[in-house]
Amino acid sequence: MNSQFKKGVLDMCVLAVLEDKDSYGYDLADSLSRMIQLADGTVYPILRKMASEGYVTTYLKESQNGPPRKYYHITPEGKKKLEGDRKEWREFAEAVDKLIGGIS
Amino acid sequence: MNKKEYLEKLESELGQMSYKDVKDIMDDIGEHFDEGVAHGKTEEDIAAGLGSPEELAKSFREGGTVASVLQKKQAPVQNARQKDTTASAIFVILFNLFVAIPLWIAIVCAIFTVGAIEIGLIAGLVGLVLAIPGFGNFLAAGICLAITIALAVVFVAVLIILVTKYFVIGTGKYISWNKKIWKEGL
Repeated sequence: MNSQFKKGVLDMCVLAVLEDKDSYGYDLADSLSRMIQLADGTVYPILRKMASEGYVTTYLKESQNGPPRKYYHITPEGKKKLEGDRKEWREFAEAVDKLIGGIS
Repeated sequence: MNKKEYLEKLESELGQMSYKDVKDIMDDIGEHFDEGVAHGKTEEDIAAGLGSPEELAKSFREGGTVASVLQKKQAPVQNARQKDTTASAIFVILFNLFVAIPLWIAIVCAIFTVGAIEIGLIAGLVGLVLAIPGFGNFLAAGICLAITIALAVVFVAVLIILVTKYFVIGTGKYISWNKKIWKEGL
């Protein structure tokens, strides 16, 4: 798929996965790349950007085997952002579907 | 490329970021390698899955630039659109006031005039038909005249019906054209 398409919506996808439950980098990369064709590395710059914008916070948690993992947790601002993005995306996707003659 | 080579390449590509930022990124990507190995993957596979270190470093450096570029491009388009509709609204008002409405009234007047002629023709025909029995020698001429007037009545009636029909359709189309220009600009 067109990489310009993906760039715009990946933030939203990452927040949506985190809304469900806290997660760590490898797991997030895995969940996203299973649904959307992208390089595993893609999520890390996004997570970093969203941490600096206050949409996610991080904490370290021991893992069963090996060193502690860095977990990401969605903040109330992140949830608000996700809600807004989701609404905007649905309206946009609906309009595009109508224009290209998909689901009406 | 193994973990060590990948991280070295990534570090050199990150360039002039602060030491703390570079260390954080190294930790995150290092953790990704460790998790992958724990899941039974080779370092080479994990490096290939991450994407090239050059591109990854570029994404880290740029952060959220893609979104801001899109927003910058969108804003002027919206402004231009608003200007366009203001100008076209003025155009619609002026055009209607000085051209379309006078023209429309003129066409309505013309239709009514032809209608009046039609009524006159019908009245003349009725009068003629009533007077025919008293024509005597001019009976044949009277009947010919009555037939001619009757044909004229039918012709004008068809003309009025057709013109009125297309006039109503045209007015409807003109109104929706106006609405379109009002909303979307010329």
